[in-house]
Amino acid sequence: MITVKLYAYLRDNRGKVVEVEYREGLTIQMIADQLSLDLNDVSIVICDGKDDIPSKMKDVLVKPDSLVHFFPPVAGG
Amino acid sequence: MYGYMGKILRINLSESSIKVDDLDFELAKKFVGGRGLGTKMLFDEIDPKVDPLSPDNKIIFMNGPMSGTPTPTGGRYMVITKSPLSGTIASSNSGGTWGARLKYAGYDGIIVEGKADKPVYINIDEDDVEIKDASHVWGKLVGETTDILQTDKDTNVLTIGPGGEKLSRMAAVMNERDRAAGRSGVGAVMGSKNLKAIVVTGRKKVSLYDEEKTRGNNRNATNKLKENPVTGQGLPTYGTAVLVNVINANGVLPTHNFQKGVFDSADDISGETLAEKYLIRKDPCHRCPIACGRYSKTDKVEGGGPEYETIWAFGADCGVKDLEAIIEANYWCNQYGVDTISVGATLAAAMELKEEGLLKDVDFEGHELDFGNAEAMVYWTKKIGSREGFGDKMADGSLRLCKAYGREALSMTVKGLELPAYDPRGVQGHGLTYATSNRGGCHVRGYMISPEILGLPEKLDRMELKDKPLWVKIFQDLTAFIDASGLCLFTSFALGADDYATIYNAIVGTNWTGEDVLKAGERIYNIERQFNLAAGITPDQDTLPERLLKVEMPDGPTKGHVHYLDKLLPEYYELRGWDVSGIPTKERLAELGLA
Repeated sequence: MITVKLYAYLRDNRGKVVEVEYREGLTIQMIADQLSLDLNDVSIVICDGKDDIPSKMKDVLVKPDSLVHFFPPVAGG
Repeated sequence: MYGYMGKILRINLSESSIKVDDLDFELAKKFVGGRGLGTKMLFDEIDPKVDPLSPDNKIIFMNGPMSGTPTPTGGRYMVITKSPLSGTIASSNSGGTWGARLKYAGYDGIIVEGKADKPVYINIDEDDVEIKDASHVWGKLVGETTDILQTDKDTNVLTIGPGGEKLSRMAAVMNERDRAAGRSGVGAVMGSKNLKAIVVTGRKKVSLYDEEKTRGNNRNATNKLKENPVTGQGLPTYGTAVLVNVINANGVLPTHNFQKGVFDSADDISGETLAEKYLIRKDPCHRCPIACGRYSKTDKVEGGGPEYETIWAFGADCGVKDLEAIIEANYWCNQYGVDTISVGATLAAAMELKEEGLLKDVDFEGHELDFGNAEAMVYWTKKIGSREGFGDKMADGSLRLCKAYGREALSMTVKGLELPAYDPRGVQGHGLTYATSNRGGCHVRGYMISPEILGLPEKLDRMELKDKPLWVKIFQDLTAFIDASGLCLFTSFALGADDYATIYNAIVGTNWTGEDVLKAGERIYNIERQFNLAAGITPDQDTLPERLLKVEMPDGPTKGHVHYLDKLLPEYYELRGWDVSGIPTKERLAELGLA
């Protein structure tokens, strides 16, 4: 199973952690679609330690035990 | 003169004298205000080698031209002095309303000299300025002091707590109870002068060069801040603590005194959890449409904060996953008037000293300082504030503590200032800002987390070294201008150098471009560097703790990396126009009008 973690308001109606069943050819974009998550609302995606913006990450193929984080635009300091 | 009030109060506590100096408008434009103008004045007036806690040091409270204007976030001020913690230039920024109030009283800044022979406070009601007996508030906590000295709705109180009175080198200057000029020990300089508080009442207005243009600029800036997803949604909803999870997921949340980069209980102490369980309301600064400030409540305490850095310092860095305890530690830091980052980081260093078996002689009074012990973390936070027991030894920061036990390497500091909440092994540009910050280990002298982690204004590979020195220089210079202007650094998530130039021009009557804004920032950065060099802070201190340079990150997405400072620093010096040993060249200083 793939573990998907969501943060801030992306948790609304989805929860903190969602498990997604792996299938061959599964991409970040497909996971987002499955969660009804518009990647335009996402600022940063981290997949197995690799972080980047959604347009650079959407076609990344996940592995059967991948850990994926979706973050909305956040900042602080 | 527009944007500036044209007056600087000069108060000598040794002589009990009060004078009003005219502001040199040309000097003000050259150094903008706040951090820039205050540093220039301090450098001109003190010997940088002075003992920071002696009467010969001065402490300057300085506004920028945008403070007190209708510009969004225009209410911040800076406290400039020589730091008793690091020996570097100290310029510590605070929000709230006090800075704007000082403008409404008719002053751009206050220079405090000498030392009173007994505790005093300064009361300013526009032209009526007095040095008054403070014996009735000396020894009192920040909240009670504020209650006693707050006399009018148009009054704002700046004060130190017992931490500053007892000369903790981590002491903060507090205003409106929970707002802190927190870093570099500026509160101890007030304490060393027997100066408890500065109470300001004022109802004047700041004159603007072009009121109509300023109104338009304010509308544009406010719209940009509200439309930007970070300043319009993320920060207002969750505050700065929303960072906990994203920093942890990248493996750069320093844990157990920077021994690791991943804290397993990060979500328990996150902004999301804070909002869900403890947030009472937002607590915005003067004229701020972002409103990232929090006001929280537990069964034991309620008050402003906690901010992200505070949550990290008392949380992950101390291995504590109890958010209620973190809120409580934050509360006591505000009450005693001590810096949450340095206090939390010093506790974490003490925990590692104990872990190594080096604190066997210490009486922990039944409150063992072990990683993860939330109760002891809160207990010893209070004892640092009151300088009691082992708290007295910790009250001067982690470097002095670790040196006392022969383990300087466990102090996670740069130039003596405790590092904040990002492990530079996984954010290479940010690590360079730590190493080259003029006040030591600081995240708000060039917030490279923005591009390296958050993708703002564009996403950079956090481990890439190429072009990072240039990014760092630009971020540092822009930040120096913002700090000098009286605006909040968070506006830079939505505004750029050209926006700041447009706002500045309409207020002051200049004709600056974005390039001029960056040039002014560069001038400020270099005069700070000159102050430090004159103070004996040598360029070999442009470095990071050995652990971050030599010990590979043991876990998480940053596993196997160190910080590669030696590959970044030479190019940074070159871009700055400094020689290979880190000394500003005469040519660059001349270009900046500093020769």
